[in-house]
Amino acid sequence: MKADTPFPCSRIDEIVYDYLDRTLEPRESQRFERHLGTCPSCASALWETERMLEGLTALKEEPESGVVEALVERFRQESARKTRGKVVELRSHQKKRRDGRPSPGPPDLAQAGPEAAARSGVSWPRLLAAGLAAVSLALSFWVVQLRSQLEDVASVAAVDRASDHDRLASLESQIDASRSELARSQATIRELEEQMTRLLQPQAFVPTAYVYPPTYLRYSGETPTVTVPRTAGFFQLTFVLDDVQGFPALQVSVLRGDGAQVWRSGAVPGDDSGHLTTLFRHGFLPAGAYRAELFGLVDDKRSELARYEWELAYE
Amino acid sequence: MNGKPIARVEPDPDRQSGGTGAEKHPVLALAGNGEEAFANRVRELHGPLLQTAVSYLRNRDAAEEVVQETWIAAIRGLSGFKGKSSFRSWIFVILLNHTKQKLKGERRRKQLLGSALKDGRVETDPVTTAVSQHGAPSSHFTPERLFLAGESGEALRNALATLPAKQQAVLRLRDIEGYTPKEVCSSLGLTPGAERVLHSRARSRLRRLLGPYLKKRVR
Repeated sequence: MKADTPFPCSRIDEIVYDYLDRTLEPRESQRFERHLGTCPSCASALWETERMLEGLTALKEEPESGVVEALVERFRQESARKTRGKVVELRSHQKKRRDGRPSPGPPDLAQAGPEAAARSGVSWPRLLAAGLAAVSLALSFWVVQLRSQLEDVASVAAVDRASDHDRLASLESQIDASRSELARSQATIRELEEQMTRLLQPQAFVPTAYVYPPTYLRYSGETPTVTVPRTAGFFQLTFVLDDVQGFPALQVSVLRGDGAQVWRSGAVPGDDSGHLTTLFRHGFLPAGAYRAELFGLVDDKRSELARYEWELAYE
Repeated sequence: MNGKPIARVEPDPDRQSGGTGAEKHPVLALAGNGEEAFANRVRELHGPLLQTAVSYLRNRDAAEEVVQETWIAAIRGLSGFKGKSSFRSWIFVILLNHTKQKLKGERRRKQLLGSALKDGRVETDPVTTAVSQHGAPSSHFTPERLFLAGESGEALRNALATLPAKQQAVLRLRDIEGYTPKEVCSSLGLTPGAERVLHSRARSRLRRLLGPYLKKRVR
């Protein structure tokens, strides 16, 4: 944009803050300033904006008195609380302090005594008295130090004891919890064992599907639904074959609804004792439509004697 | 993340050399021992935190309460602060969470009071009145009222209170606290583009609101 192009008033909102922040391009600034000289409206707008920004700056506040101090006090308390909790660190710190501490006075003083005496030419009895005094002083100092250390150790031990006590209490409660859990688990095991025993008993094999063809007539009536308990283990299919005479052997085939054979008995000697039992493991036959076909075998010929259909379902 | 340890306040050289030399508090990343560094942090961040809380809560007392809660939560959680972000960003996150919780509580209270009023159980309740005013500030303040507010500070405060929360927070941090755009972004979790738009809209709106008042003062 050329420097002599007049500045459009509509652009004031766009540039006024950059102008006040001194981030506006210098040439653009000059153009704006020239415009201000001729446009009272823009000059007034600039003035207003400046006052507004000044007003905003004046709203800055320092924290009210006492706020900082109260928060620092809180900070101090929290730091102290955390420090108290660090028993282990405290102990290691004390150990370090004990290691780093210079050895108590008596040997040093005793060692320094004769040299000092030689330098100053003091008599031996005096030197001895002074030495003894120094030794007793040093000893008393050492005793005081030792006592304070013992107190420290005692306080740490007290904290330790308290913490051990807490730990013991927590372990005891854990043991109680485990015991009750164990009791619950044992009860569950007992219950499961009983259930298993029940399931393994012979009554699980009570016939649940009972196909009853009283005559040689082909069955073409309704398709009954046979519901079998899923936990039974086995179910059996019993054909009651009354008056099946004249056939040396009999055979039963079980077929799925779509005609695929799922089981076929061997040739059963034909008599009129009445029962032909097949035993199926549950799940061997998926739920669905089935039919059983009973054949009479004469020589090589098979004659269908009866057909029974049913829907197998599991509980 | 902003690499500078402090928002905009340069460390005070007097405070920095206060007997502790170049030692720095490990968590607060500021010169001085723990308490001194913490006090500096409070002096530096209390104002910006309060400005932000006021923007969202539109109530000075509630904002002060939230800032206080924020500091206490920060003190408690200081050992968990690993210094991965700046301390300022970290404490602003705490503040914004506390503010949200406070707003939720306010909203619930307002709903309860509103339904009670509808049922005719509460005839006039000063709290309800206050809440309803906080809920609709923009219709409450008009340029005339701003003018009638008298002192310029008061007028400005009233005008500021009418701005939407985010615009207000950005404007307060930028123009009252003197934060840089980058500092505002990291404190309020804004993108630079959003910050720019919010700031510009807030300034235009505020000037429009203050226009009649400022003109009056010029003449």
